[in-house]
Amino acid sequence: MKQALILLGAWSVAIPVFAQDPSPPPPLSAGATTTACELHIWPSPGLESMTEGWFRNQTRNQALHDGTGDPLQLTDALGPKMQLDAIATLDLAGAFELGGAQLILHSDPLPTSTPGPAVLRRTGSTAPCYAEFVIRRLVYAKNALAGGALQGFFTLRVFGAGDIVTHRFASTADTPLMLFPWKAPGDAESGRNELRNALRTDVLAFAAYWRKAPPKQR
Amino acid sequence: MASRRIAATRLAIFAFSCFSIAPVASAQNPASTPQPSEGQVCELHVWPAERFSAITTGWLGGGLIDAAAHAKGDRERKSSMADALDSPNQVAALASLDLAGLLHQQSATVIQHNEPLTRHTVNDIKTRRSESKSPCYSELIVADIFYQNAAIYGRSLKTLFIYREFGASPTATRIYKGWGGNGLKLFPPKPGEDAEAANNELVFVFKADFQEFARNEAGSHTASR
Repeated sequence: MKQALILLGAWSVAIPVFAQDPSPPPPLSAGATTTACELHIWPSPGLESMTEGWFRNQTRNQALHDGTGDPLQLTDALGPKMQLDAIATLDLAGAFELGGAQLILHSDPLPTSTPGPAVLRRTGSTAPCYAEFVIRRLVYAKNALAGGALQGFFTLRVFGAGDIVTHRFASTADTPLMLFPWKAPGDAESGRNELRNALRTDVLAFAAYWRKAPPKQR
Repeated sequence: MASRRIAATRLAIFAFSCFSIAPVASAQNPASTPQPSEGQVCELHVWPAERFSAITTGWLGGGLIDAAAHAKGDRERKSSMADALDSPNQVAALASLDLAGLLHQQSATVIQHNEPLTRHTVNDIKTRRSESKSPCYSELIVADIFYQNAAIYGRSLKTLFIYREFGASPTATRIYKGWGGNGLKLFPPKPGEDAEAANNELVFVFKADFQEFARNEAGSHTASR
């Protein structure tokens, strides 16, 4: 029985929970376990681009749909669900030093301007150990000399037991890309895999920045 | 013969209109600040930029080797700048200022457009970029945002603005185009550093760029009278 309880506990930590967006998760009831940490995760709306070639600078997202539409479906290359699938396998609780935190994945990106003060929790959770990780923006960045990269913009907010954020950290990380943007539909799958791996690398790099950040920046 | 004359006239009009917008201000009616009649509220439409640039020149003084040395950093800085100054942030930053007052315009309702205009049409199209039929109408367009780091002069953010007055006309009666530029101390953040302070500085300097532009615009207005 004891072993079964331990196994159940371990399962609840390891398996991420998909929250039912857009409504926030309901507050924990009085009888519910309130000692576990929660790490809420939001994806970005999708991939953007910021590119330039040898001779001309391009405008925002021009590389993804340049006049001819998007026949290779590059704009959907890293949608919200793919982002969550890609990072759900990472030990994010460990990476952010939130030992044993339960991952709660929100399938919908946050609105551009979140209503209410920016210092409050974005969900109704009353967990006494609570943090939020937001993939704010994913950009395919490229210039002729440096090549292409997936640049992720991330924010981590840690609350502890209170409703007001105690630590906030925002930074970026980038990983070089070799296959994206793919040139033929047959290369799409390997291109998507490359993007998923790059996102994982970016997230872990951001977590390393967080761990190294001096306390006043956290 | 008649068609040649018409073509020549059109060419002359085209040449005149090109001359009147570049490179700085000029106007078909230089002294025509929108003057609303009593009780009438003007409209000032604002559009953000969709084109960003980041260029770093080191002690090599530019060239391919210098550009290659800074290529990766400039790629990151351009995206970071476009993140901190994305379209809603640009428009919100400008809307937080007294735009009409700074542009020496009568009180105006600021209409915010979060979707940028297609960059290559900004100079070409001289008619109103919105559906408004307001008899006291003007436009403020952010055309380009440019980060520069030069070995001697340091880091700066330069912004190209275009201000167009229409009055009641469907085509611009006065166009003023110019850069504002100010130094940066915090942007770009070092790799792995928290970016909030640097992003806040970018927004602050972006507003300072507009204020500089507006001072120059007001000066040119006075000078042309």
